[in-house]
Amino acid sequence: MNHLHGIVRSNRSMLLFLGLFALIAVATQLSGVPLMQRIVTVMMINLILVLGLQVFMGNSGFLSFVHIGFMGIGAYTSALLAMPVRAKSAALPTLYPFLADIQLPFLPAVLLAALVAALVAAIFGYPLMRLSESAAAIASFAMLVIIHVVLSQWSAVTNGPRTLFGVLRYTDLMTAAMWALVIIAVAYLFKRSTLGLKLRASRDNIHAAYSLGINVVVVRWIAFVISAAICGLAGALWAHFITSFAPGAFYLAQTFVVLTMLIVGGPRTVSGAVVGVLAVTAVHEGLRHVENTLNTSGSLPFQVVGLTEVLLAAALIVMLAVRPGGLIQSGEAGSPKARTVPPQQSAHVAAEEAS
Amino acid sequence: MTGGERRSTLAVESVTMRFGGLRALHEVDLQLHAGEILGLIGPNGSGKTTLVNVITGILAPTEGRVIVNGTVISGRPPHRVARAGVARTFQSVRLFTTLSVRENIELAAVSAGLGRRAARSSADDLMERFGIRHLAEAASGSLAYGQERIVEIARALATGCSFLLLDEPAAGLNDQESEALLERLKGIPDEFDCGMLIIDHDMDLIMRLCHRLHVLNQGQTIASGTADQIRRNPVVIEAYLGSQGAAEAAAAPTTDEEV
Ligand SMILES: Nc1ncnc2c1ncn2[C@@H]1O[C@H](COP(=O)(O)OP(=O)(O)O)[C@@H](O)[C@H]1O
Ligand SMILES: [Mg+2]
Repeated sequence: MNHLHGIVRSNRSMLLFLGLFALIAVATQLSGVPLMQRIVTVMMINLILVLGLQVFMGNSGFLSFVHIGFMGIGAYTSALLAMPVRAKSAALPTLYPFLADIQLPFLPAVLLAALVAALVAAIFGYPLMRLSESAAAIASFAMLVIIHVVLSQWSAVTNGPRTLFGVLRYTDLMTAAMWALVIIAVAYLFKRSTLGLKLRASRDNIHAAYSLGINVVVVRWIAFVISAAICGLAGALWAHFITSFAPGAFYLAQTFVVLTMLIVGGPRTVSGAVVGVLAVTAVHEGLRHVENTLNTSGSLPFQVVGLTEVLLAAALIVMLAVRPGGLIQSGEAGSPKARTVPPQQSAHVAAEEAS
Repeated sequence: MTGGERRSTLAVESVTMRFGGLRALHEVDLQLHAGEILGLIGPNGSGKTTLVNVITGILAPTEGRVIVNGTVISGRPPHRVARAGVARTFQSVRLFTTLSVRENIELAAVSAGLGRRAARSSADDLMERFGIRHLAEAASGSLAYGQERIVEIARALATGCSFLLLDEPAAGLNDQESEALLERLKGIPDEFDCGMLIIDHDMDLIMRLCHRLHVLNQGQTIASGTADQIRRNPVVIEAYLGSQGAAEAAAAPTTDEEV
């Protein structure tokens, strides 16, 4: 009993959000409103993406623009592996035989998608991990561009810049929610793991981390690969939810949404990432509703287009100016606060030690 | 210290370090043995921190080499030097400010190869040893300056190092704090079976703590020997201790270094 109590105590924040998201999923499912179910399913997938990004960005302090590219790699990999052979030959007549002739079930396809995204990250990401923070950010953007160009030009495999149709629909609300819960736990456990601790240490002070024998580049690289796998998984789930998509889906617009969620919420904490997804989804859907109402009511002499994006971008800027650490900056929501030492007490302690 | 036994030794062999046209170190030789405390002193800008940076692999020497127990470590990246048993503190304290005090120290033990549980109890022991057990859960970014210094030393020791290099650990401490620090540092070489090199401008602390002293001036060794020999050495008095005495040297503001 005591043991159980200890586990609950040290995982309060994680359990809080696991419970909350399970509740949201079940409530939405029971509501039976298709629009709500759609919105929440996409939110769960975005949550997985944002947590994937948080594993790397939050713990290492590096900024990455490439992760939506890994989402794209995951989406196409899983779509191709799980598509029925006949649909495949119709959609992609010039597909390589070894891909054209297989059809895997959902789960292996999704897991292989994560693996392929991880492999690409492992191979091309290593040089990035040696760069300084700002250089790595720019390089990650360049990497996103490369992935985008490959996806839109590799016609045999992706149908080029055109939409790929005929992907099977496997992902529903409960599937997405279940994976989201798994990844919430993964993100919390990673942060607390030895690797996570080393990574956070290197973010705080790289020279000190080196001086303890930590191979910062390797630690960063492993985190990058894990986070790419998570984003690849999210891409696979999304592909089997949307069922038809083009490479443009994995580019700047989606990158902006996901980065906004993470930065508004607070990249350093898992709870920040989670809260950011909730907040941005709510604002996003709310604004879209307002935009639609304005346009259909005809109360304005012109159409409002892009209001949602502009206001979200403005919100991001305001957030960076006012609260750069995000909504939840350091302590995880729901866990006992780290103690800070008031100056008077420190002076007192120092004097005590000297006597 | 008997001469017969084989003690682990860190040896700096005719190390020269140039930054462009500036020669920060010139053919410096120095040895540090397990069990001893060696003081490294000299005026500001004489190359003390640079020497520590060369030993710990942050800088690769222009010429010369650093050897630990017969293995050349110069040229290795800093994390591999650390794994060869060389730990350090920094002239400007470098803690992991978003981690707790315990996590800072625990991480050092983990990095040295201990399991999480063992690392934790080793961290607890070290905090006890240094009188900072009550700060275990505190965010290390919220500490008083003197406490930061102590945490950084405990963290370096948690790596299980054979050589501990302290860059001005008493800088910025008041007299009481320096005295407390001296008490905590004295026993380290015997207790942890390591050699300790300490840089400081507090001559009182240095003279009472160190078995041997090594004096740098403008990147060159100008003297080395026991505290008494150094105190009386006219070259050292001329270059560093000066006519106004060591007190002034202690009070002089130290330039904040890059690393
Ligand atoms: N990374 C560096 N690049 C250029 N010059 C440096 C660098 N580090 C130290 N120096 C110079 O080397 C000299 C020795 O500095 P330092 O080792 O910090 O002295 P000390 O620690 O004895 O005060 C100084 O002139 C300093 O400006
Ligand atoms: Mg210095």
